[in-house]
Amino acid sequence: MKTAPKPRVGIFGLTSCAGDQLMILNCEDELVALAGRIELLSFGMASSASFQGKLDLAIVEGSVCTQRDLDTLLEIRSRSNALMTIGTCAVWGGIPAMRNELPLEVLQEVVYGGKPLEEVSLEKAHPVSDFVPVDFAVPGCPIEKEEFLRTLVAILQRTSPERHDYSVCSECRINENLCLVRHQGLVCCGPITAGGCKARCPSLGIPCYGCRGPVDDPHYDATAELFDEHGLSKADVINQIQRYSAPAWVNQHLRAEWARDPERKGRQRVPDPSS
Amino acid sequence: MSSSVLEIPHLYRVEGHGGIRVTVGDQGIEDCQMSIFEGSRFYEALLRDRNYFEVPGIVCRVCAICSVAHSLCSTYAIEDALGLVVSRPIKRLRDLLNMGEFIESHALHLFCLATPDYLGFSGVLEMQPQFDKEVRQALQLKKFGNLIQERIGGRAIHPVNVVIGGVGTWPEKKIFDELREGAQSALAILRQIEPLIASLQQEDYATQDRVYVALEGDEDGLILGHGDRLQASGHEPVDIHDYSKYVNESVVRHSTAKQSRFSNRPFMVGSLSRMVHHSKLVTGEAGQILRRLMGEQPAPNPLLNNAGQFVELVYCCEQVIQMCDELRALPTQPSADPYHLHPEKTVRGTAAMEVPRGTLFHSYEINEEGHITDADIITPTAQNLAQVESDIAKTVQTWLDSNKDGGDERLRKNLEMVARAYDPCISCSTHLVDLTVRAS
Repeated sequence: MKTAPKPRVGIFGLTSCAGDQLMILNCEDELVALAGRIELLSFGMASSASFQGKLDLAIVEGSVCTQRDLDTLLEIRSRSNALMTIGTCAVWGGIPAMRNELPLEVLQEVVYGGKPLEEVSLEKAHPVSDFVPVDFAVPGCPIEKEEFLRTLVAILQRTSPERHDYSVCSECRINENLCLVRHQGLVCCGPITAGGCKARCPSLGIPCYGCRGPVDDPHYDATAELFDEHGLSKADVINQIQRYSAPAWVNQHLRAEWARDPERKGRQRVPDPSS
Repeated sequence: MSSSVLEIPHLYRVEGHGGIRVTVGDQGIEDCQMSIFEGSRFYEALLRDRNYFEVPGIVCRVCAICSVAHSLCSTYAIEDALGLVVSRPIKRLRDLLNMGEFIESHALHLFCLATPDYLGFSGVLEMQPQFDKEVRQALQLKKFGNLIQERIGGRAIHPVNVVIGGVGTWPEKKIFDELREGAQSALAILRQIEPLIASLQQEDYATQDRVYVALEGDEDGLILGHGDRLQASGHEPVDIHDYSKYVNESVVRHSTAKQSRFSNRPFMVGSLSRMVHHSKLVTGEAGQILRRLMGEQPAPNPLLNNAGQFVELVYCCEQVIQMCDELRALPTQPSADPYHLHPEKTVRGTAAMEVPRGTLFHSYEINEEGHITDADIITPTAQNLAQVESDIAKTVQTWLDSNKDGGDERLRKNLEMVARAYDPCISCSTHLVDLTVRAS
């Protein structure tokens, strides 16, 4: 009986903190077993073996910030059957994309005194999906170990990886946490952030800052309403969600909404029965 | 006259993206470069106008392995700016979190990234079939380091429980008991692994005198913590608030990281530096191992940094036991409120910590709205780069003097081992602020 060949897998990092690759190395108990189920041909962080051939699955961390990143990404995509992005940088742009509001010359002046460098930065920091088709996406900053392993195993077994289509708010409720917005008047991105982290931060008393990226169908209007009711400044709210949870277009949407209707008069407010 | 270029375009088994380029001509070495091409994320620029209490959560993303380091150091720096000194329980809790990072980082680097070179493997997974027990033990050590970070910091990578002025939620007592027990198990593993580490040969091709820099030990005698004074070989101690007078950085074309000099000489930070400066403070079992592995006066060989990492692993586990003994006896500390600490005028604060790769500096300016108006982060790897280049040049010279013994292959291997010995964290090193262009 012929056994199926093991899938050929490569793990790559573009511009990143390497946290998602490190999280893979943090699967200490599963790592050796995993190495037996796949042919891990490329993993720059852990091995000097440099493989240039065809892959069944490429796993990519990091956002596309330089010309070198882009060239590397296109090359990897061209020789891989499937591509999985891991981490909020690769899926949504992440922290590097926070600089997209500022022109590149300003950034280079502030950080490098305007001196020219050999490494060429792109105008903006991009998620991987801006340039190549992506087959599987596992967000997180860093990714959740279990979510990554379940996704990988689902791929190996040719089933569909599960999706988290609920927000961090739902997980806070399951933990029976007191709501930080309602009870402490803090800006918490729980309502618009993709769940899967078990509301780790709010459970420790720290407001969610959206590191897993937006939930599938974020109700930005309802969320804006919630913050508005608690007198939280729009600038604070925009600043908070701009970090990870909001790709550029959401940020613009909110700014435009509030610019058009600063007093929120267009909204039907249900009168308070006690007043 | 002809020159040949030897290039290691991409250094594997280090964190981040960097390479080595050496040009040798008829007269000898013409140029040695450690080139850093990690994409720049322009941290100092994107921190401007953010609230001071958001900083630890953003800067910890500079690097995954060093996320505790950046999170803690930025927190101390902002507290310094705001005139806050945290209570002893908080200080000790943060020390414990730092130990977690040390254990995880050193276990990862020493066993998974550096040791394969010494044994002739291309990586830890290739090493595993022949060294199954040792690899599993190394992964258990790394797991223990992560456990500390999860329990105290809330998550193994990018901690969430570090808050300006204190902590998010104080851990339950049973956590300190769990970690104390884990440290005992870790020490047992380290005793079993010592023979393997002792057997690794540190050759002399890069041995040359150097300036070592490290923080002085703190009030608990802890050599791996938060401190106010810097020691440098042959210099009087320096207050860390004056760091920019001594640690001069420059922008070089071939690197998105800047290079540093201490009073215009390259210098070295990290485990070897701490062992040289603080051998008297390393007592207990760690002290005995220090003397066994490195001798009373360690040779100025960068490869000995790996031996220093092993000593520090033992030191950290012994420290974890002491810290947990103290912390478990303390009452639960309240959660800090970091949101209402705005200064009355623009203030500046600086902090320094010993972290796995050496001394880390963070400095911030905060205005009366509580917004960051300036930020400066100097990482140990960036500080080491000038010395790394010097050691690369020495390695090439040794090779030339031996009539290129072993050919290009031998040189390549030696250069990689030297670079790796420093445990470079390249993601960390690519952020620094303006200064003068280095003359080449």
